Amino acid sequence: MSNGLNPGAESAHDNLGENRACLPGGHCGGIWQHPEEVEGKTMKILSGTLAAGGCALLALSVSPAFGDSDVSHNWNSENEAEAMRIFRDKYIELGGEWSDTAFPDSEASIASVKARFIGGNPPMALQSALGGVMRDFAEAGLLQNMDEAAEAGGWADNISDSIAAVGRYGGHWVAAPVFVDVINWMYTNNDVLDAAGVAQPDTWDDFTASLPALQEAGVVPIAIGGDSWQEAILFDHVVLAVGGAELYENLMTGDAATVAGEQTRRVLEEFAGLRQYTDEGKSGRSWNDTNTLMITGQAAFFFMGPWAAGGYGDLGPEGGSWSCRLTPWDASLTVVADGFQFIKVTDESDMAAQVLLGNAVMDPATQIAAARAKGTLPVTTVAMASDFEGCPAKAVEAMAGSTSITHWNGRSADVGNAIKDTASALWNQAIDVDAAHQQLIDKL
Amino acid sequence: MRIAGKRISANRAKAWLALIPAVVVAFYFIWGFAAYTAYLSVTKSTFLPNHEFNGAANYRALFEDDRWWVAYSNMFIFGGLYLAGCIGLGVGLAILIDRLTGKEALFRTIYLYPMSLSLVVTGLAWQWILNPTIGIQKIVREAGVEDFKFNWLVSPDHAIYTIAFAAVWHGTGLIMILFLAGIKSTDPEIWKATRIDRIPAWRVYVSIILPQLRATLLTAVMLLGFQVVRSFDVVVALTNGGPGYASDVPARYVFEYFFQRGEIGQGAAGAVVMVATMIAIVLPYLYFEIRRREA
Repeated sequence: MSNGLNPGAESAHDNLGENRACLPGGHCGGIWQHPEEVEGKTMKILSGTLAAGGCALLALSVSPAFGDSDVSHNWNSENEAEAMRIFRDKYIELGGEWSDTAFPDSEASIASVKARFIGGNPPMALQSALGGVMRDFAEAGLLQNMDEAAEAGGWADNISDSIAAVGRYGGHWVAAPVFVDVINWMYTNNDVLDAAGVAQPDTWDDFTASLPALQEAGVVPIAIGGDSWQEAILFDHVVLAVGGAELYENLMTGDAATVAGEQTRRVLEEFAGLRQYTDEGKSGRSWNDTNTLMITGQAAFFFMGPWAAGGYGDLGPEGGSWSCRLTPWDASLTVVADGFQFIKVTDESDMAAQVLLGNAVMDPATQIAAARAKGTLPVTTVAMASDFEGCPAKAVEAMAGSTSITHWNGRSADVGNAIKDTASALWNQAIDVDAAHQQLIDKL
Repeated sequence: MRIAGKRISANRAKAWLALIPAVVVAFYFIWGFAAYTAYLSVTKSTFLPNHEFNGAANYRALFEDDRWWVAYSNMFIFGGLYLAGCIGLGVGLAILIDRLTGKEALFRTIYLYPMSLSLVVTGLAWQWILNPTIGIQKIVREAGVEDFKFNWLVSPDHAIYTIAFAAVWHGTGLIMILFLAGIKSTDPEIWKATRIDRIPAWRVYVSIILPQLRATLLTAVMLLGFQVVRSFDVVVALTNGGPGYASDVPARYVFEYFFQRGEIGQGAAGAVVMVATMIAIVLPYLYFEIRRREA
C-alpha cells in the first residue's frame, strides 16, 4: 500500500492468492473473491463450485450452517479492498463462507440492493455511510433487527454511545458501524506553496489572501472536480470558516433563523468568490483526477475526504512535500460513520451469516487493523492515537479535543441533496447568491 | 369455399400463435412498464414503490423544480440542433457524394464511420478534445495564440451545444446513407430531361429530387427524434449534465431521481411528461404525413 499507513497489511496480502486450507470450523478458503475479480463471473462460479464441493464433505460435522456473507459494497480502491480483506479473514476465522460484490460507488451499490430486495433476493449486508441512507432503508422496512446478536456479541461494549446510536434505528440494532470518516481535510502541496512563497494558512483570511499569489505563480490555487458532492465538501469548509460547528449544525438541521440569517449569506458569498481560483478543466472531472493535479504539482489546495490521502504516497511522507490538515480555521470535525447495514433476509443460514458478519466487523482488533489499512478511524474506543500514523493519527488526536458534527452525508437524503444542489447551482453560476439563499431557505 | 376458408383461418391461427410471444413480451415490458411508471407518478413512492395515492403532488414538485426546466428546455435545444444538423449535413453530404462518381464508396465509408462508435465513446472522445485544459484550447494556445478561448464544454451557457455537436458528428452518417439511397432510387431519366432544359444541378436536387424524398425525411425525423428523447449516454459521457446541471436532459434527470435520489414518484412524473411531450410533437406530424400519402 503506497500510502504507508498500514505496515501490518503486508502479511494479510501475502496469503491472498493461494487457496486457504480448510479451517477447523469446516469451511474452506479460496472461495472469497478478490473485489477486483468480482466481475469475472466464471471465476466466481468455478471457485464457488469447487469450494462448495470441498466443503460439502466437511459440512457433515458442522452446525449451524452459514449462508455465504454476500456483502454489497463500494470499497474498491486499493486501501479499501485491503480493509475488506481483513474483515473477510476474520469472518472466515469465525467459521463463515465469504462472498461479496463491489460497486463503483455507493449510489450503484444502493440501487442494486434495492433492486435485489424488490426482486426477493437481497444480499445479506450493504456497506455504506450510515445515517440518511440507513434511515431510508429502515423506514422502507429493508433492515433486519439484530438486537439479539448485538446483545450476545457485546457490540456496544467498545464503542461510544453516540456511535452505538448510529447503528440503531427506532432503538433496534440494524447496522454495525465500523469506521468514522472525518471528512473535512485540507490537502496541500507544500512544494507548490513554497515555490509561490505562500505559507501554510492558519486562518480563513490567510487562506483567501494566498489564493491570488498562487494564481500568479501559474498554479491552480484550489483543486476541485465537477461532482456536486465535491462542491459541497468545499462548501463545508466555508461554513466552518464563517460560523464554525454551531452554524454547520444549525444549517443542517434547518434552523429557520440561521438559514435565513446574515451568516448563511456570507457563506454563499465567500463560497462563490472561490470560483475564480479554480481551473477551467474542473467541469466533469472526478475526484481522483483532481487529486492527480495535486500530486503532480499543478494545484495547491484540495478539500477532500480521507480517501484522498492514499494517493500522495509518491510524494513521500506526510509533512514533507504534502500535508493533510483538518480545516485549519476551525476546530470542528465533520464526521460520518461507515459500516454494514443488515438487510432483511428470512433464511436461517443467511441470518446466522449476518450474526457472524456483525461479530467479525465489531471485533476491536479487526476494526483497528482494517481502519489502518483503509486510512481511517475505527469506531472502537480501544483504538489509540499510537495505533495510527499520518493523517488518521491527526484525526484521532483532534477527536479528543474538538466538536464532532455529523456531515451532510450522514444526514437525511433531503439535507444532503439541498446542500449539494444549492452549492452546485451557485458554484456553476446557474443562480446568484440571492437565489441560492432563497433556495436554501426553501429546501432546508 | 369452405375448405379455402378453413385453410385461411388455420393459417391465421398459426400466424397469431407465432406472434403471441412477441406481442406479450412487447405489451408487458414496454406498455406494461410504461403504464406502471405512469401509475407510480401519482403515488407517494420515494425510496421504494409505494401504493399510496398522492394526486398531482409529484407533478407540482417537478414543475417547481428549476432543474427540471433546465433539463426540459435543453431537450428542445439539443433536439432542434440535432435534427437540423444531422438532416442538413446528411442531405448535403448525400448530394455531394451523389455528384462524385467513382469515389462514392470511399466517402460513404468515411462519413458513416462515426456511427460505428458507441455514443459513450463519442462523448468521451469529444470530452477530451473540447476540454479547455487538455484539448483544442490548449493546443492552439501552445501554438502561439495565447488568448485563444474555446471553453464551451465548461461554460454553463454553451455546454448543451457541445453535446449537440458531438451527437451530430455521430448521427450525420446514418442520415447521409438514408438520403443517398433515396437519391439513387429516383428516376435517372430526370437528369436527362433536365440537362436538355439546361437546369442547374442544385436546382434539380432542390426542386425535383428532394421533394420526392418525403418518406426518407419522415424516417430520418423518426429515427433522430427517438434518439433525442432517450439521449442519455452521450450526455453522461460528455458533461454528466454539468457544469452543475446546465446541460442536463430529461432522461438523465429521470434516471437520477429514480435510482440515485430515491424520489421515484417525481422521477416517474418526469418520465411521463417526457413521453407526453414526444407524443404531442410526433403524433400530429405522423398524422399529417400519413393523411398526405393517402390523399
